[in-house]
Amino acid sequence: MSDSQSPEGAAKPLLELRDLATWFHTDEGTAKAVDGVSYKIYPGETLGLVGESGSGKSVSALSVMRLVPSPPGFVERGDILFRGESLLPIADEDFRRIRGNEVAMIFQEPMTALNPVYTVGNQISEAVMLHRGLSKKAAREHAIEMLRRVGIPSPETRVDTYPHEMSGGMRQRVMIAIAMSCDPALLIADEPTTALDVTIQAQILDLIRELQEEAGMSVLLITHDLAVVAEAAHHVAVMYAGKVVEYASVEELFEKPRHPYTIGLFQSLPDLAKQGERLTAIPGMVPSATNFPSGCRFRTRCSIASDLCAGTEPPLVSLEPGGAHTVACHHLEEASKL
Amino acid sequence: MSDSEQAPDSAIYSKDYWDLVFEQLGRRKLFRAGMGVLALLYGLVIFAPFLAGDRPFSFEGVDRAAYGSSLNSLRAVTNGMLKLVSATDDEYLAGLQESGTLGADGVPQTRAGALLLETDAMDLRLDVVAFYLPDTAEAEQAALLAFRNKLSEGKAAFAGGDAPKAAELLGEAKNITRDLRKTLRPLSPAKPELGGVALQSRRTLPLWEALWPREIFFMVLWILLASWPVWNRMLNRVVLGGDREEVRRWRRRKAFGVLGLSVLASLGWYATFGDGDDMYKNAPHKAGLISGAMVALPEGQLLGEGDGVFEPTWPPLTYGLAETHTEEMFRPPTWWWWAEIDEAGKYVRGPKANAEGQGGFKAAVTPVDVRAGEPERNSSMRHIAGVDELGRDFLTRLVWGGRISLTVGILSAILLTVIGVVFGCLAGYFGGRIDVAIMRLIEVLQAIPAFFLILMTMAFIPADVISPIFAIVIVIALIRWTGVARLVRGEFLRLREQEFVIAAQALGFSNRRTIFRHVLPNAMGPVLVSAAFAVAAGILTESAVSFLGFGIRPPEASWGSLVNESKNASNWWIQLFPGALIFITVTCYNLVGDAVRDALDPKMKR
Repeated sequence: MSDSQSPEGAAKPLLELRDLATWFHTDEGTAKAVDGVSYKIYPGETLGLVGESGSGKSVSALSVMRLVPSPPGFVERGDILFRGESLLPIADEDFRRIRGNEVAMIFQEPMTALNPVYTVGNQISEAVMLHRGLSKKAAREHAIEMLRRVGIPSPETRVDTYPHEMSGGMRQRVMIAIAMSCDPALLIADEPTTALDVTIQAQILDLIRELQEEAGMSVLLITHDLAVVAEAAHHVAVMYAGKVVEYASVEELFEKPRHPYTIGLFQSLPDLAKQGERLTAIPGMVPSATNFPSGCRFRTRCSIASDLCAGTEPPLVSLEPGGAHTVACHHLEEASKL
Repeated sequence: MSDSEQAPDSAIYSKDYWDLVFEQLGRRKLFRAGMGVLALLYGLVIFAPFLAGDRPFSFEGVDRAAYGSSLNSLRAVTNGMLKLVSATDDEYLAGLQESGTLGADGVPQTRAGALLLETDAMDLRLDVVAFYLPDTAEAEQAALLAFRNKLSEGKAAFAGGDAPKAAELLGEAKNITRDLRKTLRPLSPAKPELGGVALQSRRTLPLWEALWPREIFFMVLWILLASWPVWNRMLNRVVLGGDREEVRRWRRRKAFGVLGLSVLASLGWYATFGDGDDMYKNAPHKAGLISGAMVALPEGQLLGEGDGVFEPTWPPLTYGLAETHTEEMFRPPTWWWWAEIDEAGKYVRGPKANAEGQGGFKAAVTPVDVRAGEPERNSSMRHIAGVDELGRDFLTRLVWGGRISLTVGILSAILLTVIGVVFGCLAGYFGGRIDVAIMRLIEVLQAIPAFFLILMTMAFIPADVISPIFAIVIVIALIRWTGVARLVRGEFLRLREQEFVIAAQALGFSNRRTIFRHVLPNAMGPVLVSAAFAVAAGILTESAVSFLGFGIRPPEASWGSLVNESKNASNWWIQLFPGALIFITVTCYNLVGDAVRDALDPKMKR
């Protein structure tokens, strides 16, 4: 993963995580939720971040937004670069100008992510009044415009309704409208479709893609659903136990997954061709973040693990020199036969 | 409150949270009953000056005593001014030194300041004299004017720096006073042969002039709130045309309108009448009418000429808060079976009729003194709630005492809620060390028995530094905020994990904005409920503290201090009436609090 070999050529990454580690110091021990994660997002690109629950994909995004509850969570090492500049040393007051304005976030649960005591118009206006200094009237106009852009019918009346008067899909559209209201350069979508039914999921993903094309913004799409990734992402980073284990363009990953964990993920997808058979599942559970195994963290669940895996941690290396596809595994040969 | 009363007439309209809450509340009979009783009680105490007091609404007549004393003191005041003008600054200061008032509060420390004080005193007296002087008495008016001119010339000379000239003019004025006293002496109707000026009857508004602007504020506020359902409905139908969105938008405007009108009314009152008078200062009218110092006459009539009769309009209870009838001490409510008193002042039947004092002496009795405007001696309306140990009408004291009890309840609830919300927000939102520090502070406070802490604190606060009412409010709030703080902290801990709070932070809102605009409104339900209960608790605490003698002191009264006036079971009305009022108020607040809690709880919706 070097700049010169990036798919966008010489373009500079919008967001770059360098060996980021976010640990939670609890009474039960130190939970290394994110432990040495690096990924880059280029302007206009969508990066899918895939992994099981507890793999650290949300925490890495929350670290970018500085929303990790602290204490107990701290960024232990590594760096977060936005437009080439480190976000970590910025004071909290100045950081607020980035949040919501440059980097916006939408959440999984549209039922609880909107404040029940304000109208949706109110909630959209508040952000633009704060960041753009719009007047109340102009902000309301802007809110109506945003509702129209996210495809809410009759936005002039909807702007005065409360969240509980809307359906889940509508609310997610409102969430997107709020997040998009300040034209952010980067949108972090934390499982935006998990709580929605499938038809609405597709609509929301289409909407995000449309808005992305319109505004030229980058999207960090966090999900555990490979179908969503296939639908919406350009590049995919697969996370396991606080680390990125494989990074590739979406076509390549779906064509030729190389890491045993990624392969396991694909094998556990339901397949119409294998109707009637039992689903293949990855054996075992994600290890606890306070007590990761030594060496390769996947080895306790990996069928091709050896002593080498227990001894040294496999580095993330490119498959071909300078290639974009990187994998962290000692036994790529054996893995390709899985 | 009646926003939700109309049937929904537009399809787009859907009820918001507050619509649902108001609808729920409106459906509860106990809530409506509680609010009704509370509104009535607050109405009674807010309009107390119109219900009970010794000032007539309007008085037409002559205040002979005021006229006489003003006229007689003109010479002394002129003399005082003369002395100030002829002395030097050093002499004035030496005088202060001699009397030990150098640097004392309320004593002017410069000659000019002292002169200003004397001038004000003079103007006051001259105004009284001029007020009752008949329009037709031209010679007397001219004499008064000549005196006034001399005075103002003297003052002008002094202001111009010509002190000797001023002293000369004031000396001349002083010489006039002797003749003035003779010329302006009032005609005595009993001895018309001695001659003098027949004073003219003038109209005054003693009750209205005694009202404070703040009382006007609460009166207007109460009227607007009590009539809210009526005018609100008119406004919604006629002006807003029943448009639900418009009605919803007008909610805040209506609230500000009500407050604004009340403030305007009180400011207007201040501009017209100025400040009011303290309620426990007796007005001169009742005593004056009996002694003859005041004579009631239709306006414009001259004293001693014609025989018009003017009957002033008194409030329904014609007793001042501190007006005593010592001959009637501990008289029971006058509708009670042994309340009857004969002409000599002796009880006709019942326990006090045969009561013997110590050593076999019959208790000394005095005939009942029926003053102007009061009901007859044995009218059942004379003292509806009995009389206390100094012969003060108990119902009057109950009405005025309610002011303090209800005020203390509301103010302490507001103050303790504010303190509790602030600390609860800090602890719940930030967590960590702030949370630990605040929670330990709360635990320490809660470990001390609150009531004794309040009693002890009250005992150490001198009444002349902070008035006992505010002292008790502050002390209650400073000690009782812990419950609200814990409640708010709990709500914050719950809400902090909600995604909309994280979303607010993700939008770059400051901590303050997140706390007060996004988290707090969602935590307001339980806070409102606990505030309603806090009012009831505040009233009870004030009663208990006053009952033990640490709170409100006579001549002011609160329901708690009224219970304290007698611990003798035969004076049952002293304990019964204020006790019942405390009970009713506290019960109503608890009913209201209960109903609000139920209405705010989404799971209780039926």
